[in-house]
Amino acid sequence: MDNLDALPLSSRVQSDADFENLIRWIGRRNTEAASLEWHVVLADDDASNRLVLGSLLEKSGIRATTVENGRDALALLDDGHIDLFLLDINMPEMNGLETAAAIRALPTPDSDIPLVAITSDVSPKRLADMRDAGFDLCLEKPVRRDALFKVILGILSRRVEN
Amino acid sequence: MTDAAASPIDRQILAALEADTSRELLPELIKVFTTTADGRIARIAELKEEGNLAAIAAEAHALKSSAATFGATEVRRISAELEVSGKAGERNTALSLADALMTAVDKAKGALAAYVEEIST
Repeated sequence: MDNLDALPLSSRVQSDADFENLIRWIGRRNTEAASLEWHVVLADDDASNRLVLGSLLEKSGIRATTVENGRDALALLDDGHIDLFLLDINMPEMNGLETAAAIRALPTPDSDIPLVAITSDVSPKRLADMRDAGFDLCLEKPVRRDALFKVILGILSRRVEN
Repeated sequence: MTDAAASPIDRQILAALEADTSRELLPELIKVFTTTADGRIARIAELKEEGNLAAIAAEAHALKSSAATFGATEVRRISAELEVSGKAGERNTALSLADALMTAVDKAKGALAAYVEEIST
C-alpha cells in the first residue's frame, strides 16, 4: 500500500523539494491566502478517481481543475495559467500518451509544463511509452496524498519565480 | 470478530483514504465509486452480449484502478484478470470472469455500505 516513490521518466525534474527557493518565493508574496496558488489540471475518465485526486490536491492547498479526457485538458491551456498536468493514461477521446505528446509539440512555452502520469500499469513497455510521450514522472495508482504532494512540491518548488 | 481474509474490502486502505481526505468526505467518495462501478458493470454486461473483449478489457482496467483506491480487493483482482484475458482474446475465461466480477462488485458494495454505516455512527 505504501507507494511513496514516483518513477522518474525524464531528467527535467527532481523529487526532493527546493525548500529554500520555495520559502523565498512565499516570503515575497503579499497574500494571506491559504493556497500555494499552483494550478494543477487532472485528467481522468473515472469520476471516483477525479473526486479522490481532486480532494487530495485541494487538501494540500493546490487549486485543481478536473476533466474527463486529454482533449478537455488541452483546451484549458486557452483559459489561463497551468503549472502541472496530472494525466491518466487510458482515457477516451484523447488518452494520456496522446495528450502528453501534444503538449510537448506545442510551439509555445506551455510545451515545458511538467507532466505526471497517474496509472495502474507500470510495466516496462508502458513506462517506455510514457517516457517517449514526454512525461516527467509516473505515480502508480492508488495515489496517496503524501506521495502526490511530494512530487508536486519537488517539481514546482524549482519553478517558482525567482 | 471479522475474518479479514474473507472480507471483500481492505479496511486499511479505506482508513488511509480517510486520512488523506476526511471522514466527512469518505461516504461521498464511496458513493461515487459504487455508482461508477455500477455503470462499468452495466457496460460490461452490454459488451458481453456484443462479444467485444477489447472493450471489456478497457472497462476492467478502469475498474481495477478505482477498486484499488477504495480497497475493493476482490474487485481489483478479478478486474486485473479480466483485463488480461480480454486483451488476450480468451473468450471463455473473460466471460466467466465478467460474471465473477459482477458478483464481486455486489459484495464490495455491501461491505462498503456497512463500512460507511460504521464510521457514520
